[in-house]
Amino acid sequence: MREETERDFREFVTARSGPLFRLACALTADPHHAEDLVQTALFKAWRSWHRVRSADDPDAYVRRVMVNAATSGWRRRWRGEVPSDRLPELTSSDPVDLVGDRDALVRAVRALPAKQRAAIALRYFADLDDPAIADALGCSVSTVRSQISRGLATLRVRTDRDCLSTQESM
Amino acid sequence: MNTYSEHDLREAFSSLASTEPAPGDVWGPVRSRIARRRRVRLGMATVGVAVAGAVVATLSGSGPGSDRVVPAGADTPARLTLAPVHALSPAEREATAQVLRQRLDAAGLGRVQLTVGADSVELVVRPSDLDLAGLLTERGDLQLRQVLAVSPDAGTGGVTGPIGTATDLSAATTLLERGDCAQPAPAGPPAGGADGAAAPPPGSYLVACDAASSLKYLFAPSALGSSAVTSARATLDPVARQWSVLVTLSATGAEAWHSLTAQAARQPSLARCSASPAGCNAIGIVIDGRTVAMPSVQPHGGITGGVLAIPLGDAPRVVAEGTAADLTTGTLPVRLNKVTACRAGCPADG
Repeated sequence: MREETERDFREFVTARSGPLFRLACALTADPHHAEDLVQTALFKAWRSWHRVRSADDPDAYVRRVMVNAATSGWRRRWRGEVPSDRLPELTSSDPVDLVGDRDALVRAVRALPAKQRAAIALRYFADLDDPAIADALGCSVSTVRSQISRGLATLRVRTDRDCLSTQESM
Repeated sequence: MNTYSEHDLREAFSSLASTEPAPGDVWGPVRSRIARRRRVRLGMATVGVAVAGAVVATLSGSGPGSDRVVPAGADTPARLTLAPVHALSPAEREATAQVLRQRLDAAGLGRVQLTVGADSVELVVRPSDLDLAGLLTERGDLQLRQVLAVSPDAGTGGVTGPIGTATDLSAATTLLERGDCAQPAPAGPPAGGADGAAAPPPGSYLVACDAASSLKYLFAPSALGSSAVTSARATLDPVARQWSVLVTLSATGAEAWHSLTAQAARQPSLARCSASPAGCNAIGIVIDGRTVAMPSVQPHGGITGGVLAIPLGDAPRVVAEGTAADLTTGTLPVRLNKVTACRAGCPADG
């Protein structure tokens, strides 16, 4: 029985570790931290494997565990390079500048508070809708929207929704 | 004010998530954690039997009075065991013990049990202090280096951290151009220093990668470092809710910091400095070989006052306090590698 459970769990790890790792990279903005996060989430999933397996959406269960670990307590420990907190005034077609632009935006994403980064990653990387993000973060939909709004303002990102609303009001 | 588009944001996340581990790389560590949990549970069950036996023996008056059974639980001490990169000489043992004791005192862990041997260092702490104790055993080597150039990394799956050092600018520039972030350069002394220290040699040029942005940075030799620090303390920005470390420099250090920042202030920004012979306007704050911050110096001139702020981004308070204690007390003579960190149910010896 134990061997069967372990084989079942191992198959899940093999099938899902790639997507989970990519999401962890987006949540943490650090591949080393992401590795640790995926291992932690999968280990916790193993501890409740019978519940995870019988859940309607095992992926959502593990994702919730991972998001919770990424946004709480010691998991948010600092690792590696931390950027300066100012975005340079750049937007240009010059390849050298584009390197700077991407670098600056990635750095700014890394500098966001963990919950804002998680909310933005779940919407713009994982393409989840707001109720699913709220479920993953364990908060209300309105909190999700305010977290994303604050994060986008910090990043100075103008979204497609902004453009649509601007066009509609014209 | 320029802005980014939603597409830029999605691209940024795609670049952050561009690396992927082989399935075995995930399964192996997870399986180890599962196996460790099984062993711990088995150990706790054994202790539970022993406690029950002791209670029965005490009630019946048959047990030896001097025997004590320590139950596993919140009061059970945690144990951190480290190994120096080479056997410590008597002088190094003394210096290591002195620096660690100063750090523990500075961090409010004065009652921690510390044992420094030639081949191992052990700290017995409360489980809640284990993370802080781990930070206090970092080498604590600070280096302040001007960024000389930036270059994109063409490869994939790179690392974050140093990939090599060079003693002359020509070799360093070659390393910047040809160094592969996925495969640290074989030529030149190891990025971590030939003496086994975590930090690169302060007099050498340093090339480091940032996996998240796929960029390589060339840093000048360190202009000043740990010896210029007189004190450091953790501080919280009440608006941004982010921790940083405020470092106070000696008079000589303050002068060197002013010269470094005045020189950097005249240079172009990171995005435009690759062709600049005098480098960029950014300073790499490197602790134990890791670039922890890379602030840009504003163009109005060098920084006076002899105080340096090290922003720690999302780092929690414990990291700021540990880093401050490390920088205040100076570097450890030899790097210590973590061997085990046992938080609960630790064996009585090692």
